[in-house]
This record gives sequence, C-alpha cells and structure tokens, in this order.
Amino acid sequence: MEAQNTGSSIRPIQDVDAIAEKAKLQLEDLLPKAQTLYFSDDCLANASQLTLVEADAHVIDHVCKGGSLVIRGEPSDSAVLCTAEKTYSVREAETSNSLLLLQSLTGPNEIEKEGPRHVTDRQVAGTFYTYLELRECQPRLRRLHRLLSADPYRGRLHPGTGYSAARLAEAVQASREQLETALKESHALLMDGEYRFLECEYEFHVFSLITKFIDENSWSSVEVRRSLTLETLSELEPVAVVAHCFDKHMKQTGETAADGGEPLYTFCEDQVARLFARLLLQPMKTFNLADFTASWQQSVPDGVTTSADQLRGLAVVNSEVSPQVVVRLAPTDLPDDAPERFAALFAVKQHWTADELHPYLEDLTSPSVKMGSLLAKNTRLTTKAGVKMYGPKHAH
Amino acid sequence: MQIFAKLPDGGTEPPSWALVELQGDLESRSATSLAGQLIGDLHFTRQGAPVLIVGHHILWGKVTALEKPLLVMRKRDDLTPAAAESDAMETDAEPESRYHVQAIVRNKILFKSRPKPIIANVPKKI
Repeated sequence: MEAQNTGSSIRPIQDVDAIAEKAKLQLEDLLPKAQTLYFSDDCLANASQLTLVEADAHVIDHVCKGGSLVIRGEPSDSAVLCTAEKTYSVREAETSNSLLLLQSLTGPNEIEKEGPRHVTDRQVAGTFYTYLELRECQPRLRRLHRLLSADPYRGRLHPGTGYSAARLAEAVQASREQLETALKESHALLMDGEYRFLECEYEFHVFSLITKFIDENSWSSVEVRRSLTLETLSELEPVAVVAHCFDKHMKQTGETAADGGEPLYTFCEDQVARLFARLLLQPMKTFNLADFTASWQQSVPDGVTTSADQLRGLAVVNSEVSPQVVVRLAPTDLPDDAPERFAALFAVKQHWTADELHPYLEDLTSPSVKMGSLLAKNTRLTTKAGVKMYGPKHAH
Repeated sequence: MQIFAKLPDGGTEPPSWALVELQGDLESRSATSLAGQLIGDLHFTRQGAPVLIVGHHILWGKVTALEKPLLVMRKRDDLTPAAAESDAMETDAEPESRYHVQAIVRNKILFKSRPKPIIANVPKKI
C-alpha cells in the first residue's frame, strides 16, 4: 500500500483540482485523494487475455484452497465448469454497461481523511462488456452411460471397450466426485484400470454360476461364503468380474460361519430381483403384467421376493390398457430435453404418479429447478380416486 | 477435453481488484486507440460518494458490493508447447492449467446516473 499522503501522477494536483472546481465540486467536501484513470498500454491485449467469471462462495472457496476449476466437454457441448464436487452450467452474460477493470483503486474507506490533496494515477487493465455466469446444475451423466453401454464386457473373448477414469473425466461433464458416485451407483466394473458395464446376459450368466455354486454346496440362502465362491469361480471367469457380480448381488448377513468365523452372505433382494426383471424384459419391451409378475417371482432364487417397486428406473406399469402391461423403460431411453422427454413419457401412458415419474426426471432438476416446478411447467395435475396423477398439458 | 484454471502455484488468495461500471461506452475523441489515454478523474466526497469527471461530464455513483464476486482469469501465454498440447489422457496427473485465477473483484463503483455536462464557467476576472 502506498503512502497515504502522497500521490504519483503525471498531472499535478492543481490541474485536477481546477477541473473539479470547474465541475462545481467543493474541494473541502472531497477526500484528499483523487485518482486519475487511464487506459493501460496493454488494455486491448488484456481484453482478449482476461475473462470475468461470476463465482459463488463454493467456487471461490475451492479456488482459494488451491483447487482447479475445470471446463469439461466435447467441443459441441454447452460448456460446464466443475470444482471437485459440483458442476455449473456456463453462460456468457452481456451487460449494456462498460465494466472497467483495475488492478489498483483506493476506496473511500481506505483514504485518510486529513492531509494535503494529492492525485494518484490508476490503470484500467481492460474494458469488458460480457462475463461468464455460473449456475449450479446436475452433472450430465448420459454420456457416461452411453460410453459404457456401447460396448459392454461379455467375457474374456469379448472384453468390449473400457474407459479409464482419466478418459472419462475428459468426456463426462461432471465433477470428479459426481463421476465417482455415478460409477458406483451404476455398478460399473473396474478391471485393469478401466471401467466397463457388464452385458446383461453375461452378468446373468456369472450370477447363475454363483447360484449354482450355492446349490452345489447345499448352502442356505443366508449361508453363502464369499472367498470359496470367488476362488472356485475365478477358474471360469476373471476374478474381478466374479467379485464384482458377487458384491453387487450379495450382502453380509451379520452372522459368521461356525467353522472359522468368516462372514456369511445372503442375497441383496432388490438387486437380484432387478437382474431377473432386466433379463425378462430384454427380449420384449412390453410384457403382460400378470404373466410377467408370475414368471418373475418364479425365476428368482429362493429367499428373494419380488415387488413392483423394485422396477424403479427399469420399467413402468401401464394400467390404462387392458390387460395391464409392464413396459421396459430406462432413463437413458428417453430424450435429453424436457419437452421431448415428457412427450416420450406420455406416449407410454397418459397418467403418472409423481413417484413413477421421479426416476425419469431426476437429472432435469437442479438447485434452481425443482421437481415441483418441472411438473407444473410440463404437466397437468388431476386427482383420480384421491391420488395425484400427472398428464400431458395439452390433450393430443 | 478439459481446460483447467487455478491460482498460480503457491497462491492461496487471489488479490483484490476493482471494477468501475459506466453506462454506455467510452469513445476516443481521436482516431487513435484507447491505450494509454486518460479517462477522467475519480473523487470521493467525505461521505464516501464517488464522483467521476470524464471530459465535459460529471458522473455521480455509489460503491456497492457485488452480489456474486467476479474472478479474473488470465489465459497463460507461458505454457510450454508440450504442456499446451497435453490432454493427460493416459495419466491421472492433472495437466498444466491453461488459465490462472489472477484476481477477485468483490466490489464495484457503479455510475448509473446520466452524465451531467459541465458548463464552462464564465471567467471570474473581468
């Protein structure tokens, strides 16, 4: 900080004061420091080298802790900016005003009230008419699913295409944390440093090896042992795959074996039921509900109970037709944009509960666009037998 | 692709820069570029109100805090060609950042009122 009572300027204070008096300002009403603004010599270069970015507390905190802000995506994407945790959409905002940026400028609170009048020259580094606005948004995870689903793993002879975390970070518009969470929640297999999806039938094949092994050992559904299963079945399929499939569909019971004390496992009912549902729905998109429900319960291993809520995000029941059907529907089957997405949903059936819609609309919500407002904007609410149902806004 | 921006190495807090917001554009009277040209004199009243004299105009404004601070990002021109090219696709290491966070702006001096023309005084001497 420079000495308060002196200035450094090309022009003498007397010239500055003369102009101020001509403008009918009373010098005694002014603080002693005047500042003359000049365009810096490199102001034009700066205008192209510098960018102004509006940042919230999280972004600033992240930067001050040494974190990076990462702009991610393909050149054809609309840009997002990520911290380690959050994702923001980036929009260039225009102002009708001119924004003059200065490296140094003394504010009124920093000026000593007493002392001789003096003037300091200040440089305007650049003039700006735009800045980047950041708005927190949901991570864009569709590309992750598209990439991993395009060429899934079908066994040693058909390994498909895997992606390293680094490669995914280049392509997926999400923060590192959001990407990790998404990989975990979608049960992506990590093998030899690359992430892959297992193809549905292949996953079922591996799970069948597990259930067969359980039967061969005459284990009850709550007495499954992990290490022996992995050891034996890794002779047939890669151990990483067997472990992945086991850990996805089995969970610890909390009990241990009488001999040796190893933890015992049982079926993760929901995951197992979903695996069988996916398999049943694969060849046929629409299935008679009564037939499906019967086949489904019949096909799952003993100890697993099926129920309709396990179909969340996999399929939806359509009671508007007779006989009722179950329709295979994954969130990734639907268009990206809201209007088209809603149109596609209502093409399946005309009336949905909020619960049914939720898994198919989650990724459209954000801190600023809540589910309620999304529904209000795109649907018409009716009540049938005391239940709130959402239908298309305009009759077709 | 990924483009990285962060504080320069060793930095923990970006320096605070300032912003002056004017209605409309500043135009140079002559055909030459604006670089190096004088804009005007900035005064503060003892109550803290900013006053800017630009050419024959006087502008009154106020100091306000920005609703959301602005980060000033500078594109680096000191990257090695290899670093500029690198996409670090095969390693987990973060490539060099293409932008440095140069500064943060938390307040601005906003001149919203219409510029008032300064009418030259009639000389006092007779």
